[in-house]
Amino acid sequence: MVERYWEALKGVKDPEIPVLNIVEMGMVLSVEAEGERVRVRFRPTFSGCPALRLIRQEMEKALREAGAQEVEVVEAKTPWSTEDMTQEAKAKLLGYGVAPPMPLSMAEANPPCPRCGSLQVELKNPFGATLCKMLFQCAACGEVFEAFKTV
Amino acid sequence: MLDPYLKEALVARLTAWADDEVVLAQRLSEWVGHAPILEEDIAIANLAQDELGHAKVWLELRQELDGSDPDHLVFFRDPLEYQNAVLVELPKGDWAFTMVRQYLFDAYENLWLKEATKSAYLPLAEAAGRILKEEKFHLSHSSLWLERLGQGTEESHRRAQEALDTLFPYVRQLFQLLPTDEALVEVGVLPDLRALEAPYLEEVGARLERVGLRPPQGGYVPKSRQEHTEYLWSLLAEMQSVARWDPEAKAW
Repeated sequence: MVERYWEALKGVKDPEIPVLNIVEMGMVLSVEAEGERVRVRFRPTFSGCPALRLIRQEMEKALREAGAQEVEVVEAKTPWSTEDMTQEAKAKLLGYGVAPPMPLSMAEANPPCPRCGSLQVELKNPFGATLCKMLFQCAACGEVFEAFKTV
Repeated sequence: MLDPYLKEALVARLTAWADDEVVLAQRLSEWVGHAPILEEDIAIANLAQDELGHAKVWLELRQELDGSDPDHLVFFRDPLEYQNAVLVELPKGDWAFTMVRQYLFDAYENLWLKEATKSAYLPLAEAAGRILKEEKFHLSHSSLWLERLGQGTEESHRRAQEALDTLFPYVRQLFQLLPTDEALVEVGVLPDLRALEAPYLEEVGARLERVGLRPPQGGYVPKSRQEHTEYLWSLLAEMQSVARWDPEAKAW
């Protein structure tokens, strides 16, 4: 039964990175079901994320469509980290043209260019089009690209 | 759990932090659509959004303690009830003023948040950890600007130095304790902000020197967070106007 709700949550996309769902982002901590009552613990990625309200609505909708009558979404306070993203999610980001987050131990290092793989990249701005990304330019191929912040 | 006195003290402390973030976010958002280049317009919108997110974190911690409604606190308190430091309410000025202020504030946040991750009050420790991750990017952004402004042109240097002359005394207010803070420090809930002033001055002083800027001596330091300049009134009037026109609105 719980499996079904997990599957439903995999249908909820991060509206700012629509190739990823919230489960592979590592945002869902637990799903408990008692009959048709479902309780989800999840944690937001960035504290100022404007998509939060939408994500909560989408979660509730998905769970109801999967058969839940009562849905409770609890926001956990433990900090989210890019370490919680699955390898598949990171690969999807790369395919999407966004440099995936680096391992936490290498948080200070620049990511390789997602287009040509060169390490000759330059930080243009620690902020990008969304809170979770920053802006780089590759010196080798000229590509201006976004990188997911390592947090 | 916290005893009633500590609870009240923590409510006051959380409010002060939240108010700093709310007011600074509002000042930053005034640049949206007006920043010198597109990338910076985007960056400053990000910064404003982050600071607002951090205010939300602090006010939700407060909500857990006293059941207060974060939106109501932000939109329906009058200027004299706001507990922000004067530093963040000063008008945005030119780009140098905004970036020098941001650097001074970011350096302070990075310092005290790091200490707060060791708080004996676990929800505070966790929140500080979350916010610190984001603040690192703020500091890297504003540090770069400090360097550009300090070592750019004669004009950028002059503007940055003028901003620093005005802003620096106000920074020292951030390290003052609220009357009720002492008790929180004693039980390890709050880092002793007074003890962070010396490391701050050392770190910030060294960076300023590297980019050719000099912190001024002396200057007026506000005595309490009840003190405000006239600028807070117009800032809040604008920020709160929509909420106050239609207090019953559920969505805007």
